[in-house]
Formats: sequence, C-alpha cells, structure tokens
Amino acid sequence: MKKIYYTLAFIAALQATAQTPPPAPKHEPGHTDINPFSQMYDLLATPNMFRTASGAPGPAYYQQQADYKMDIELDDKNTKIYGTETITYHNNAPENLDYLWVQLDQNQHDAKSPSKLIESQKMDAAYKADGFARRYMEDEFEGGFKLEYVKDAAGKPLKYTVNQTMMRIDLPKPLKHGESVSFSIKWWYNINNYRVIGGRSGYEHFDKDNNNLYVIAQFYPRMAVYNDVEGWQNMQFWGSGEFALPFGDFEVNITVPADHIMEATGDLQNRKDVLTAEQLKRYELATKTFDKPVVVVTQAEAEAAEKAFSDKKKTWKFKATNVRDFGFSTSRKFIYDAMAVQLATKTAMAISLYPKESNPLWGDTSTKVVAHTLKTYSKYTFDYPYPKAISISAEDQGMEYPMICWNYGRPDENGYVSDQIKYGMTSVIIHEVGHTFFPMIVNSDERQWTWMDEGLNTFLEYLTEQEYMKDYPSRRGPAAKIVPYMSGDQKFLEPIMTNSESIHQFGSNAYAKPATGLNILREVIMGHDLFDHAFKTYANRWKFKHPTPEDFFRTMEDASAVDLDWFWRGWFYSTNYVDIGITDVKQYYVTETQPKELKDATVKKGRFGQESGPFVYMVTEGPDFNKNLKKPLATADVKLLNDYIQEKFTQEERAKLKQPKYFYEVTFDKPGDMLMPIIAELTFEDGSTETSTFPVQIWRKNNQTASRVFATDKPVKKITVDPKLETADIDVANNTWPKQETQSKFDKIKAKKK
Amino acid sequence: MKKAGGYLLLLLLTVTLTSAAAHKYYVSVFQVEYAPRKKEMQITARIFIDDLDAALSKKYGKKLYLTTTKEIPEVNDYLKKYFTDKVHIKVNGIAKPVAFLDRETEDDILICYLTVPADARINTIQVSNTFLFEAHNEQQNIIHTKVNGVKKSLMLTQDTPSGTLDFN
Repeated sequence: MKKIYYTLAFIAALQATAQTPPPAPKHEPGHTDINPFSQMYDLLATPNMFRTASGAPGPAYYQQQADYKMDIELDDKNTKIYGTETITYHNNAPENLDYLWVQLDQNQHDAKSPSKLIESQKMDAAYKADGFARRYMEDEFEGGFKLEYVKDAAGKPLKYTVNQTMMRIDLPKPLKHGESVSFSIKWWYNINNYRVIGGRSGYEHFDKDNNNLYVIAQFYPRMAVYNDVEGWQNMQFWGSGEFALPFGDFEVNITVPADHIMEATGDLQNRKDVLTAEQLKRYELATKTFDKPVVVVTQAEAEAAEKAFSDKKKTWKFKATNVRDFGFSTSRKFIYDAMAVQLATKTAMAISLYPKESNPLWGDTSTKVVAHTLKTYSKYTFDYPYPKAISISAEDQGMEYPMICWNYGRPDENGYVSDQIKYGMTSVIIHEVGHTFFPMIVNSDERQWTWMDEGLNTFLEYLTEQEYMKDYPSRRGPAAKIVPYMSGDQKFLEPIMTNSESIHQFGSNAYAKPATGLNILREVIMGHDLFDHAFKTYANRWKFKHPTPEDFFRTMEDASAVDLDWFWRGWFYSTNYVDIGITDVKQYYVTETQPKELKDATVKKGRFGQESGPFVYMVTEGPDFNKNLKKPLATADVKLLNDYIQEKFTQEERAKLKQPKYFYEVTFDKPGDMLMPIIAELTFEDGSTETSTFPVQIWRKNNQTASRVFATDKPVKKITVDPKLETADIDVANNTWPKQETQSKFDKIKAKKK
Repeated sequence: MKKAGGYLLLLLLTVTLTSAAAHKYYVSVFQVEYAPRKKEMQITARIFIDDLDAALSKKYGKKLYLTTTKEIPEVNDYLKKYFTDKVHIKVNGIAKPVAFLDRETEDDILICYLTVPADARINTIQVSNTFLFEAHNEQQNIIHTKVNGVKKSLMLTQDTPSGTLDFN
C-alpha cells in the first residue's frame, strides 16, 4: 500500500512536471554582422567600368550631349513666351536608343497637372471673398507648354507622347553609339506671375510703374539625362526634386522690348547692338576693374526706361559652351553693375541686375558677394570655369541656373534693411552663385538626391560666409544647430539618402544635415588638410560629369585614407543621432600595501608568462579603503616605486620623468547610435583645461561603453564630453562629471524677474 | 525659392511653393518640457525672425522692426497676443493658459520662453499651434515634448493644425 502510495505520488509528480514544462535549454540566437564599421558592400552599388571603387569615373564612363539652337520671343504685354528650338542629341552610350525623353517642366503649371493632386487637403474654416472665388469659382491659371510641332531635321513631324512633365520622341530608326540626331520643337506658354502662382521662374509685377521683371528658366523643352545608373530619367517633376540635365552648347537669340536690359547664361555676342555707346564704355571699364563694381546701366537710365514702354524690339544673342541649362532675366527696370574677379588661373566677371527698389542695398552688396563667392568656392574646388556669374534681384526667389541666379532681399518701403534681410540676401547670393559649382558643373542628379547639390553647396556656403565676415550668423553649418532637428521624433525623420519628394523637413534633411555632417568631418574627424584635399578631388573628378552618391562617398575615403563607411552609414543612411556621455569616474590612489581584494593580482609577463609581486597597487574608494591613501601620489611614499626610479634613472633622467599625482578611470557610454570620436576636456582645479580626442575606432567592437585612464599632475575638477559642441550631441545633460544641475533658462529668467 | 506674399495663402492651397534652392524653409520648433518640481511645462519656441516680423507687422497693421534697433516698444504685447491667439494647450483635456516669459535673439532666430501650469500627473497633452500658418502655407510647427523622460513629437501643418500626445 505504502509502495502504491509512493508510486502514485511519483506519477502525480511526473504529471505536474509535464504540466509546467522544464525551461528549454538556454539557446542564444546568433546574428549576422551588425558592426557599424563594416564596409558598405551591402549598401553601395558594385563598382564597374563606368564608375570605379575609388569613386572616380571608370574607363568606360560616358555621358550624353545635347546642343541647342533657340530663337525666343518674350511678349511683355501679354506675358507670353514663344520659342523654336533645334536640339542636336549625341548618343555616347554604348547601346542604341529607340526613343528620347524630353523634359517639359512648365507642365507642372498646367491646370490639369497631377502634381496639384498629390497634396492632402482639408477644408479651411474661413476664406476671404477673393480667396473663395479663386479657390472654388475661377478658372485656374492656364500654364504649361503648348507644343506646336516636333519635327525631324528634314522637317517631317516626329511621333511624340507627353506624359506629365516629360515627352517621349520615338525615333524613326535607332540612334546608334556615336551618332547624333537633330530635331526641332516649336512651343509657347503663358508666363506665371510667380508671386501669385508660385514657381521657380516667371515674372514679378510692379504695380507702381506697371512693369514686369522676368526671371525665365526651365522655359524650353530640355533633354532628360540618360546614363549608366538610371537609363532615362523616369521620375516626373513633382515639385521638390529639381533637375537633372546633360551638358551641351547653346546658341540662343532672345527678342524682347527694345528698352529692356537682359542677362543670361553664356557670352553676349552683340553687346554693341543692345547697349548704348556710353554703357559699352562702362562695361569695358568693368572688365578691367577688380576692386569694386562699375555701374554699366545707371539707376537714372533704368528709371527713364521703366516709363517708356517702347514698341520696338531688340534681339540679344548669347552663346554658352558646356552648360547643362540656360536661363535669362529681362526687364525695363534693370540697373546693371559688374566687376572683374581674379582667380588663380583666370578671370571672370561678377554681375548684378536689380531694380531701383533694391537700392542702395544691391548696389553696395550684390556684386561684391558674387566676387567673394567665386573666389572662395574656386579655392575649395576648381577655378570657376565660366566667363561670368550673375545675381538677379527677384523678390521671394532663391534659384540657380548656370552663370545666373535669382535672389531675394530688398529694403522695405521706408528704405529700411533689417539684419535678417541683409544677411538673408548675402547668404542667398552666396548659395545660388555657389550652385553654379554644385550641381551646374559637378552635375549630380537633383531629381533623385537633393542633398548632393544642396548639402555640398550649403557646406561651402557656410565656409564662404565665415570667410566673408568673422562670426557671420550662418543659419546652417555649426554642429549644434542641427540638434533640434536630429533630436526630433523619429516618425518625422528620414535618412539623408531618401528621395527628394519623400522628405518631411526638406531644409533640415537635404540642406542642413549633410552640410553639418561635412563640417563635422572637416573639423572633428578628418581635419582640414585631409578633408579639403578629398573634397577637392571629388569636385575635380566629377566636374562636367554626373556623379552619384557612391562616387562622393568613395572619393572622400579614397583620397584621404580615412575609412568613413561608419560615418556614411550613420549620418547619411540612417536617422541615428549622437549622444555620448560619461557614466562613471573613479579616482585611484597608489599603494604598495596589498589590498585584500587584490590578493591574487598578477601582471602579464611577455606573451605567456606571469609576474608575481611585489606590485604597485591602484586602489579606489570602497568598503575596505584605507582613508590615509587619499592623497596625491608622492613617489617617495611608495618605496617600491621610489627604489626602482632611483636605481634605474640618472638624476638627469629623473628630472624628465612625468610626475602624475592623480589617477582617474573614466567610463563613457553612447545612448545614441551615431558614432563619434570622444572629445573629453579635463578641467583642473586651477581652471586650466586639457582636451583629448579618442578616435571613433574606440567604438570598433560595437561596444556600448568605453573607458580611459587619465594620470594628471593637477586635481581634476570637471570632465566634459564635447565641450565645444562640435559633434551634434543631442543631449548634453550626461556630458559632464560631476553631474551638474544645469540651471535652466527658465530658472534664470524667473530669478531675473524677481 | 523663398516665400510667397502672405495675402496669397488662403487662395493657393493647392500650389506647392516648396523647394528650390536657397531656401528658406518655414519651420518653428517648440520644445515642451515638463518640470514636475515647478509644476509647469516649460516651452522654448524657436522662430525665424523675418517670418514672424512680417506676420506680426501684417496682422497688427504696423511695422514692428522685431529685434532691430528700431524695434517698437509694444513688441512684447503683440508677441503675447500672438501666442495667445495661435498656441492652445490642453493638459489632460483641460485648456491651460500659455504665459509668455521672455525672449532672446540667436542669429536669425527668436527664442521665446513660455510656461503652462501643470500641477497634476500628465496623461495627455493636446497642442493646437497655427503659428505663422497665415504667412506660409507650407509652414510646419514641430512640437517636441519631454514628459518624465518620455519624448514625443507632433508636426503641425495646415492639414493637421493640432494633435494629442498620450503619456499613459
């Protein structure tokens, strides 16, 4: 019976075990490589004969060419523009092309444009009457290209298909490698008042004198890019991702009212026909004047012209070589000044056109800023290769084309110029003139990657601003200024490597963050020499070519021998942010008395051996700590050490030995996943400081913490990580030891008010 | 491209004026931090001076010359009025007054310091923020909050001018 009882109990126990299964044997899953230092084979395109692993164009690199001959007429009274153009397209690709794609960017203004249908709308609670009428009752502006014909060189119509902002032309026979094809397009469109309709080009109307100031761009059907990376561009112009264009030569004749003054991409071929003899003389003087602008068309001449409304016409003839685009600006209201700029190997002209409303600000500033920009950018890249750079005063604008750009910033109606306007205007001129380098010459694809020109250009804009004036209030560049963006909610952040159309915070993502990243590379990670050489190498390798992001990333590493894959991964391919802090600081004291817990201490000898004592022990405060040790090291107090020094070194040598008295072990951690070097500043009790920078490879084992030992001759009062805010660390509350209760701005304000 | 005249705004909701080069982007950042010991939420608002100056001057029909040597003396009154008008905060569903404390200038940005009383445990914060919406239709007001170490954000635009954050 008893036995049975036991058996039952045993079975019950078995059942109980069955009901609560025993813990599974410990199984830790493995993982693939997650080290942030891993080379970017998983992210970058495989190098090939077109684009090499070094980041340079490969032996099979090719690019297409598109040459244009255009006759343009601008109808000022009816704000319409008419054009006929002949495009000669050269196929340098190894393969045949059956069709060509042409960009019709003006179609974004078409009343039926789908780009107006991709924005979410909500009902507004209130409208002004005119707003309601415009929104719900009136016809929309009838923009977009009206195509009259597309013909081949023999005048025969070509078959074409328009898809939104692009047009496919079907070729009668394939265009082979090395062949060219010419065709003509006749078109016109209604010019938009950009201050009402919006747009990167159009006209601004001046109610007081009833004149228009035209800034005309993406105004003609333009060839799309065909290359080894994308084939034909197949992404429409939705509004944010700007333009990708092949290089070519332009001959453009532009007919406008006879009293207009104009500037455009390219060399003016008939200056004698369009300027007065007096103006010609002034222009000649400007070409030899390097210290200040010479006024070529005076304010008095412009004011006389804006009243005249001539019925006569004049044709301005321009030629441009190796440009990717063509833009022009024309008005009766233009004052014109110019000066010559000396670059290392050549000269160029800096030119400004502006209405009287922009003076005296523009006369005093614009052309000088253009000249400064050409010099500074040339220094960091290559000598500005074009004959001129033109800054046009166009309110509400900031837009770039080869050799010419539109820039905002005028005095208010009382003639007052605030700092915001003054610096805003200076910055926009630097930025837009700078765009002639990126992307007009270093011709990256803006439709895909806004950051490639905006980011690089904003970075050089920052350097140019700082060289223009000490402590120039740059909006973007310094690391600390990107913190509010990078510390934001991840839901509204995208990696920089995100297509132009898909970005929530365009200015921060595509302009500020890449520019700041380059600034951090230059200031903290690579140093000026290595960075500047690599950046210049990229600019020179890819000038007048089409680089991709990979070409940039690879060149920056290849030319500097600084492996930056970890940086590109973190800063460009992710939304990781920097947050490095101090978790622990322990002070150690030196003794030769063996502490209990160090009973078994050993010291390695050579590769395999072990030393046995006696040792010099490093102890820190703990339960068994001997308080008498709590003092700076005096070598004489530690006999073992003292004997060794006395015996080993001569008096002369002893005098040269360092005399460390205080020993600290500092532990750093990184709550943020973006890696950075650790910049640690020790502040001593006497107020002096010493900064150490530990290269980013201190994190190379994918470790969460890192520690360093400091031996100093003065007591450390404070340790600060990134004391000058150079790494975009998003949370500085953990950057100091001892932890400081930072008095908040609010406490200070309240204290002040009491 | 920089900006469109404010008067167009209501008319042109469908037109995208984004982009382009120089840029000017239209973003204000409001950092909201709960300070339990002070029983308040502390708001640090960072706003582009030129946009704010233009908007205030237009709204109140007088040039303010914000942060310049010509700044008119009533600027703080207008600022307070504007904040009251544009920023509405509810804590746990109850509307709270927004007090304007002080301001300072950092380059082209005006930093404003504001507080909102918060004496109970915070469960939800509702923020409605239409700052500068009348000036630019692509204006974004980003609200970063930090309550007891938890960070949450809102991105307020014409389409979604308010939002609620749940801290439960």
